[in-house]
Amino acid sequence: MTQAERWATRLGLVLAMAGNAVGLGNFLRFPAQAAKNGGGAFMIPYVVALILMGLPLMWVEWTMGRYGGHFGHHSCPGIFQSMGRSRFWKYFGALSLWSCLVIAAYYLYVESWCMVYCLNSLVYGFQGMNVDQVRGFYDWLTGQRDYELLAISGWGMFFFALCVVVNIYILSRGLAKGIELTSKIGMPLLILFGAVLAVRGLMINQELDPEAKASPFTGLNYVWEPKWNQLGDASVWLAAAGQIFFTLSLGMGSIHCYASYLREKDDVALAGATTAFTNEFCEVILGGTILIPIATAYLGLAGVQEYTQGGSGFGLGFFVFPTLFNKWGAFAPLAGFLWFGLLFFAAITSSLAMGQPIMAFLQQEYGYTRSRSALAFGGLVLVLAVPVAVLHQNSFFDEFDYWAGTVMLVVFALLETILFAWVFGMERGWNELNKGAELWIPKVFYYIIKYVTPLILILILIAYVAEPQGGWHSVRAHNWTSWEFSSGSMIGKILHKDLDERLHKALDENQQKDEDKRVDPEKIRSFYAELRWWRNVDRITMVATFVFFAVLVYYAWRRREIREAGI
Amino acid sequence: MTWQALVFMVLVWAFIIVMTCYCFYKLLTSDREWE
Repeated sequence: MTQAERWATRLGLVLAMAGNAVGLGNFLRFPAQAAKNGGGAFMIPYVVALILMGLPLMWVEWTMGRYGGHFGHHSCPGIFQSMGRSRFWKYFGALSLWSCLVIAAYYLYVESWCMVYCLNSLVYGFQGMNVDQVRGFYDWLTGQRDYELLAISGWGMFFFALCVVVNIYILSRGLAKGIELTSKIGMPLLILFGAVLAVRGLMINQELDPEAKASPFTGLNYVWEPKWNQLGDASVWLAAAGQIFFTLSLGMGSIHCYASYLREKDDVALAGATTAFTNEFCEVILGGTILIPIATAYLGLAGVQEYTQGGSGFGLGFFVFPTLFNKWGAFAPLAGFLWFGLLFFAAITSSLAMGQPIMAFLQQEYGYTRSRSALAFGGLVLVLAVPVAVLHQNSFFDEFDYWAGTVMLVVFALLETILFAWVFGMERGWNELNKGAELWIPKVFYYIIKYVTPLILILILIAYVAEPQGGWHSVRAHNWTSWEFSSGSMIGKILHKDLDERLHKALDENQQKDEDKRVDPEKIRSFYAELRWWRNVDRITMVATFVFFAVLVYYAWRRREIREAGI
Repeated sequence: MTWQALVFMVLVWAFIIVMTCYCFYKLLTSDREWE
């Protein structure tokens, strides 16, 4: 039962928390975001966001978790209920269970790709391949085909299922022998793999390597060169705040859950700060030194800019990197293994953190055993994962990522900050944070948590809801009376504006192709019409999943009331 | 690399490395360990 569970060591807990925070975004998203949003100048809003939002939220979540754990709660419905007076808080807490499950449904799929790429690199599977061939491998693995809604791949599903089984097995071993042990092995290996790749990448020498087009330091310069003119751009500040928020895995309930296994007077201030800075070390120092410098050395700056203009390093990491490692001769299979192994460790330590809150809830409220709750988590994931794995990525995969993996995290973080600072009370919250603290937290954070952090979260949320066409940097050109929402804004997403844009783009591109390579335009239109329909099904599924958790929470509290009444 | 980029990189790296090392130092040398 959960009550008997404890972390074995403080270091183990911090590594598990850091493993939760360090994810794929540290190595794929951060360097692309930094390069796109002003290089070195991006780091100014990035560090400011870390201090004004990242660290405060990290402390808030650790403190809330330890406080709830004191009352025997290990998941957010109970933790929220123990801090808030209204009985509705437990339903807001249920949002965290929902986010963890929905995110796990697609995150585990990506994790399985890392596993396959890692194994395929080791057996020389990418040897001699060009980018199109690696992209072909990816399409084979995921079953993706242009304008085909069904995307079924037998091997892809096999490895997906294998990944789910590995996660269930680790989770079923419990906190100390499962999650903590995995993190104690995975995190040092991740840092070692990253350090080897970073050093090898910076050693690329144009004079010795005929394939190198530029120095890796040109890429490093691209990441770090401050473009001061972008500092006045609101979208750069929003991008930095968003990156800090997502990189620390805030707003999911995983940190609350892990911290709830602490004792009342165990420190959270130092442990929370250590978690945040370990994540920053992996992101800024390792993440910023691998992807773009190596890619720049072989593709040149223009090639890298083409791949990262969307602010994601996924294309570089999964399609281009296996071909670049081929230029390293005998080291190529090992380099591929290190890169995708690093991504796999980053992913699995995060996916485990998504499973634990749901397991803790089932164990605590419904008396499930550890193994049974791990199996229940795996079963729930598979229910949502089937449409993710068999349908085109623009349907369930993208929608889950946007609503659960982006929007809901910010909403949840805002709710928990209001609960902590305004409902529970900042004075009590501050005392709770400093209880047993081994790190002195300056009093200014009292005011930051109370006023600044919620304000930043509200601004991020507004930015998501109402982003204008052309992005926030073009906001001055917009007329307030005829505001046009971008396809990436929440309202644009609800109205499927992004699908409309993609349809027009696909039709234009198709028209420009040679006649023998053109696809029937009707097929393209029908594909996007089907996508729109499936996206609506997906949204109903997400609402139904939340209702499912809300009902579980409702009955859990009914059972509590009956137990407490001694009936 | 330009001087500006180098200075920025070194400053941010130094901040993160110093803070990470400081936190781990305090954590690992603390006499408060769990039973």
